[in-house]
Amino acid sequence: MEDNKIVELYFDRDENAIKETKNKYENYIFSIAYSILHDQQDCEETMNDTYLAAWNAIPPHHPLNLATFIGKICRRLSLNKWRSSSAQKRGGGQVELSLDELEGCIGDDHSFRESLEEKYLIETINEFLSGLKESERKVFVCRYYYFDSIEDISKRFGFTLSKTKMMLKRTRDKLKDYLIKEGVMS
Amino acid sequence: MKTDKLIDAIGQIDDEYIEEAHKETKKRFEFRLNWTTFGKIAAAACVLLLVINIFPVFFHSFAMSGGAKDSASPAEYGGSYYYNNSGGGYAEESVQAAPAMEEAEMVYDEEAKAEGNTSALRENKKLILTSYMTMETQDMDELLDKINAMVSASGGYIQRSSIYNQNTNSRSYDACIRIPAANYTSFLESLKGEGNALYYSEETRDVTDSYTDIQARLSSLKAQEAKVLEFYDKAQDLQDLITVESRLSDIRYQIESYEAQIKNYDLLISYSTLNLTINETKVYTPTSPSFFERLGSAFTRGFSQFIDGIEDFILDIVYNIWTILFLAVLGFIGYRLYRRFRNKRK
Repeated sequence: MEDNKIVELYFDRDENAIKETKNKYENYIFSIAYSILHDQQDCEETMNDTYLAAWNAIPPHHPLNLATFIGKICRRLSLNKWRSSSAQKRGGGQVELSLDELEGCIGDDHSFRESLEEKYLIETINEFLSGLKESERKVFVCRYYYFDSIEDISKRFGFTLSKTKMMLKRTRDKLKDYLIKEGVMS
Repeated sequence: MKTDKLIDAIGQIDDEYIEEAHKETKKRFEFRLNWTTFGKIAAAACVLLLVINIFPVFFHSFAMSGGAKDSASPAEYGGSYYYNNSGGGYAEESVQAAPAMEEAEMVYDEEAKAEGNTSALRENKKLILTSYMTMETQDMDELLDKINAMVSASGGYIQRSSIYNQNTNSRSYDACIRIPAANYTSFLESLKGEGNALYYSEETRDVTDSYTDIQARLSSLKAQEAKVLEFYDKAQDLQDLITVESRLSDIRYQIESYEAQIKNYDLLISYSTLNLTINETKVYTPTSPSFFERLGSAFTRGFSQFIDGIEDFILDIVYNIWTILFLAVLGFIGYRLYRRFRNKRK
């Protein structure tokens, strides 16, 4: 079923909307959840939460792209779940590695302006991404949005591991410079 | 935590970037230059080049030296020889009488023979001359015609001949030629003028002692025969006749045996034997090359053999085209089945 028809079902408050979403995007959101949580049961819980969150969000939201809409929900919920459980079982996951990488990028010398609105930060990152080369952008998004492992990224794009790592390092450095330049970080 | 803020913000980036990153791009054919693979390919290519180029060169020079058997032989016998290969082209004369050749007491070298001293010595001595020669030519047919004419003119004959790779342009001719000893030197000189002589060796067997020995035994046996015949005439009774008859047949048998040996010797002495090998080539090996000539020779010969190798390679491919196509189709079907199986499992 096409996305806009599924969205119509949501607007009609038809419970088939969730069924259709599940049929179409189960694999997609599972891959997002799993790369964050690495646990079948947690993933299933998060996925159910995702469908519920989508049910509650549409309406009033009218997503043009249902896949990325529920993908974002799933990512956010998975991260939340990961944060609440990571106190007990830290280590190993790609999220932690990605966070470490970004932490290294930002460093202790800089801090976000507290008063900064999230919306402005998102816009700045979007601008930054639009200025990147396509391959750099794809690799960056794979790593820090989807939390794909470096190995998977290398395979997907046909790069060597070291090339992927180097590309990510340069993009992070550019991001840092950009954030400082745009006044997001001081 | 500031990184959490960043990672959450990244979670809200534009849909187009999210889609773009995980969009299933049709995998184009990618040739990834992997240095290990490249090394392997390069090594394989080198080995192939070696096989195509170096091995034929090695084999060729090996064949020109008369093969393993012949190239070893000059050292074992007393005699003179010269040797010429594509690498060095050196002339060597050996006057060593090796223990293996007890009868090789008389050694002639090229100059002495050329001056005709040999014929004088041969008159007194019973000498058997056997020689080995390797030549190369650019036109095998022409040279063979000339050799046939020269052999007939000198009163000799070809005892045995064979030709290898009849239908290619790298033929090899092998023959055993018998030439009257008196005409041998002139025959050899004219033969050398016809092609590029690479290797020559000769050995002389002095059979004077055994020849005179056999002659002495023969005359003694003949004397015995005459005496026994006298007894035969005088014999009175049957017993005597039988005894004399038996003795006579023994003597005659020995006489015939020695006479056959003498005849064989006479034939060997009067006709010298030349074992000739001729290789057909496109480029002559220079006889006394300088480094640059050898370099040039190596280059042209190498190129010629490289072209031959390429031609052979193409012929091999054409020859095996049906097998290759069959294997390719099998491989393609196998790959598709594997893909289908893998996708189903997914």
